[in-house]
Amino acid sequence: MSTQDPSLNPQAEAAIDGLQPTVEDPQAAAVAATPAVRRDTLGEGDNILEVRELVKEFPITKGLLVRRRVDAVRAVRGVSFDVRRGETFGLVGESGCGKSTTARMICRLIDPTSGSIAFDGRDVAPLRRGELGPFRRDVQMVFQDPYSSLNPRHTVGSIIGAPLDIHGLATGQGERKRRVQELMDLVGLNPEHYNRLPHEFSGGQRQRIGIARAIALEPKLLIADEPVSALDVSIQAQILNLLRRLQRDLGLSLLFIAHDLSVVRYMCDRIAVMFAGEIVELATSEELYAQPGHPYTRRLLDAVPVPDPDARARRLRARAGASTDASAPPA
Amino acid sequence: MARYIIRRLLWTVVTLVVITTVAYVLFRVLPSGDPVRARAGKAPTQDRLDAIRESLGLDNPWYQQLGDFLWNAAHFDFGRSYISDAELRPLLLDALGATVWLVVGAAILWLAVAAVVGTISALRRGSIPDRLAMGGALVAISAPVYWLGLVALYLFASDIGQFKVFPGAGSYADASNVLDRAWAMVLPWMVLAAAFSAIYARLLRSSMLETMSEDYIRTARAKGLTERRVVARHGARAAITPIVTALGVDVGFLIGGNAILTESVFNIPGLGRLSFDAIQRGDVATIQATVLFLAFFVCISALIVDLLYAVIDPRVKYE
Amino acid sequence: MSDPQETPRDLPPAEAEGPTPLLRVEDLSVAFRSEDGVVQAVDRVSYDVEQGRTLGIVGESGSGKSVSSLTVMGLTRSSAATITGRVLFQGRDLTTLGAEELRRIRGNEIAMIFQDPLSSLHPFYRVGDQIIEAVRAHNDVTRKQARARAVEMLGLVGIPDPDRRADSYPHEFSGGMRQRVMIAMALCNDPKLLIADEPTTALDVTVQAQILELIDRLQRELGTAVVMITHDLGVVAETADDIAVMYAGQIVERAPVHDLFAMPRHPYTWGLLRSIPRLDQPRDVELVPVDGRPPSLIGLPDDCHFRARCPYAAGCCRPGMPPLGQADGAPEHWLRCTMPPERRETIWGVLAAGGTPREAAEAAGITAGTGEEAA
Repeated sequence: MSTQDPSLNPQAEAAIDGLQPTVEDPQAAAVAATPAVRRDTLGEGDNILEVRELVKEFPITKGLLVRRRVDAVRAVRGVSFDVRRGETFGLVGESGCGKSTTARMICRLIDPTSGSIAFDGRDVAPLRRGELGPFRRDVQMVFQDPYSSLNPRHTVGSIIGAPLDIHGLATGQGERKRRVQELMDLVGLNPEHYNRLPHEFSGGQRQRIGIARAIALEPKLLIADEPVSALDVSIQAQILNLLRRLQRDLGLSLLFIAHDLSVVRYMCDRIAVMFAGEIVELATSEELYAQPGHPYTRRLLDAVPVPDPDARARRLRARAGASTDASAPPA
Repeated sequence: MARYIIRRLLWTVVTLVVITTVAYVLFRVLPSGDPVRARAGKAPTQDRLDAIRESLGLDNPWYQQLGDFLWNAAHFDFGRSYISDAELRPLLLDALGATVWLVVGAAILWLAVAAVVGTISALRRGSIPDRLAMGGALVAISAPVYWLGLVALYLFASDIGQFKVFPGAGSYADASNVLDRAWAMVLPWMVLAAAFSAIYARLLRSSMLETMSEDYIRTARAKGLTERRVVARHGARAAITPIVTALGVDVGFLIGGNAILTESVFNIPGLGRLSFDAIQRGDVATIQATVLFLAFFVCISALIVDLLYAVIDPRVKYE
Repeated sequence: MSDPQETPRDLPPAEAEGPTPLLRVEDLSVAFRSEDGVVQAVDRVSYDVEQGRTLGIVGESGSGKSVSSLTVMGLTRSSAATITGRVLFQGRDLTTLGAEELRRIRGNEIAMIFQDPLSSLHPFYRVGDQIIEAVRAHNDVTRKQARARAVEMLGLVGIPDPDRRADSYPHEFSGGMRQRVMIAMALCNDPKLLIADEPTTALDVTVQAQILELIDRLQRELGTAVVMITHDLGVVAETADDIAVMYAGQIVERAPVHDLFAMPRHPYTWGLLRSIPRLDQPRDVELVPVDGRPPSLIGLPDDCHFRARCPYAAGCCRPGMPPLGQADGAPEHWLRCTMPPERRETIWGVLAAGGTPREAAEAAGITAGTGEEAA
């Protein structure tokens, strides 16, 4: 990273403020101008989810008495990717890049402006809320903040059991309680804590509650939006390993969204890097970290601090060597 | 900013038209007594009733009556009272003067009290002064205004009081110059301000407590500012936002007629008294006018509050 | 207490070797009274920070890393707090200073930046004015001179067009820019010590790299000593000269950065290192979380706080709180653990090669659950 131009106003930050990415900064402009790198083909194999050209615009309105739409902020600008059955697919990027907006569109918490979301072969993007039916069961979400995503006045049992009630899956109190305690055991909570309230649990345990609620309906796709970024480091690993184990044991497909590249690498089979509402690179985990193809990916990777006083220097040297080799043959 | 103000004023007009219409329809539908009969004297002839009806414009269809009223109101012409036939505009303006005098004076008083009590309570949370102040505040909030007013008159009024210190009820109406009017208002101000002082002191205390735990207060201390400067410049500035909100609503309502209890006890001819009397007599024209006044002041004070936000908080932007 | 004859006592002890450290924290303890009992937030913490060097303090939430640093600044003083021990800054004990004397040091000789630059800057004042206020709190200068200094500092931290941007409000900056403003404000009086409390935690990773680089550059140019508080082992590895690992209010391990990463010696440090995913290691190394969770800081027994979560406790732990002592063969490496050195090397050998704590414990002859090993 050059010292004289530390990229003072990266596009990603401008995007937080709801602005269109500015092209004042040469480095960001270069990033935006570089074509996306794709090391897979769309529509191949057995996909649980196929997202095509997904766009989300937030309107800007104006007017004296009646507001009319004059412009729009394009938070997501044509995103396409597949999630294969049984894999963990990662969406990684910095704040404001559109990764969470994408996730929220996929589980239809917000409506996409355009594009298609094929889940299990059926496009759910044009469906209205009431028509979603089984989709609501098959796709579940785990949120970032284990403190605010649980109702503080409901017991753990009723939080985890709520989806069962809504979809009429548990008949009778005994059946419901048995199922909830099974789930609690599965995510590593003590089933005897069935009647406790969320505030009696630590952050990591609350995230376990959130996960238990999400898998209660045996969904086909689990979307985890920054599930560990609010947790302490030693607790993060507990949750990450739990998600990995559940994914393996239950055959879940997992869409994993995070800003931490080390975490995403650990969790995901394939990774899409997002920048300013677009996917700039999509590759398998191994490829992406060994040979980042897009300058933005490289910038991200270089910025990650490594807990080894010598490793960073080594890594930068190695990459400098590799990139001179790669750029040697003329285009 | 200018565009924003214009837009808000346009909305205010819309709001006023809607409120006036609702009020008009309500008073037409409800049996409030026929104003024509009320004015016609005993055993009127049908001709006389018709003549009065025509002179008041009450023979026109209802929408035309409403339209006329709105149109005239836009020109600050509220017509005449259905009962006394007095022209309403000077009546309203006089009443408004008295109410504004009462409310603004009281507001200044309660803000001053609340600023001192609230700040000290917040900074010395849990101390004896804090507990005393907050206990006293509860008493002041619970005391009904009319009771407090009567007690004040009984104790301090120059005519009936035990200690003849301040002018008593009705002295405002008799006052001839500004000084006399202010003097006459001392008791009403204190009575009206009592409950509000308590409410505002509690509001400021909790707001101040919240502000003083903000990160930027820690930064201000880490910079090496004196504690006094931390409180006065960094704490207070942020803590007054909820005060401004409350003040806008309260002053708007009070000027619009909600100071009626204080006005009644002290016999102050304000807007509250005017509308109360009008309702008792079924004087629809006057009621219409006072409703319009109330709505107008509430809307305007809401607008002023919103504009004040932009002054206090640079993050607030209106386009 | 403030008897002038007693001042020599506040000078650093004569037996201290080498140059006097800029900051010496000695047996610092901080306890807060709360509704549930006394919270021992910081417990007998000691460390030195030399002029121009960086000490990294690593720990999870509740480890006491922030509270201990706020206490250095005198920012935890309150009627509910009990502070014992000494904070010697250039030989003066800050814990005994009066409010006004302490104020003169804060923001002048010791400055601090915080985790969230948005909430740490006052939202209602222009950033230039906030820096001017900091300058004028310690220097008898005109507003104009102070503003010149503010603009100079904003330029120094890399804010383009600083003269114009000084009139902007905090919300008009991006997250990284706000942290630059905080740094400019902290350094405007040329402090000798900068305490950075999680300065990059709220920032994106590319912005984090820029901010760390900026702190590093300014430290070199201005000769400032830095205390870098963070939960991120990566951040300390890249910035610190020395590292202190904190757990449950105590320093459990303290060493120069290369020593610590080459041969970490405390089981908690091992746990941390094995529980974070790392870009510099193969992808298939399974993460090993530290089981359980940190203890409540209320009513902790005077015993090793980590024992309940330690996979290697069986067989070598003695009752009572282990002292913070020098490790064998590494005089600069301090730790709060009584495990024999051979066992320590065996266990770390297994862990470093990617083994699980269970394998490591077996290699060291610890059988889980049996408690005492046959001696």
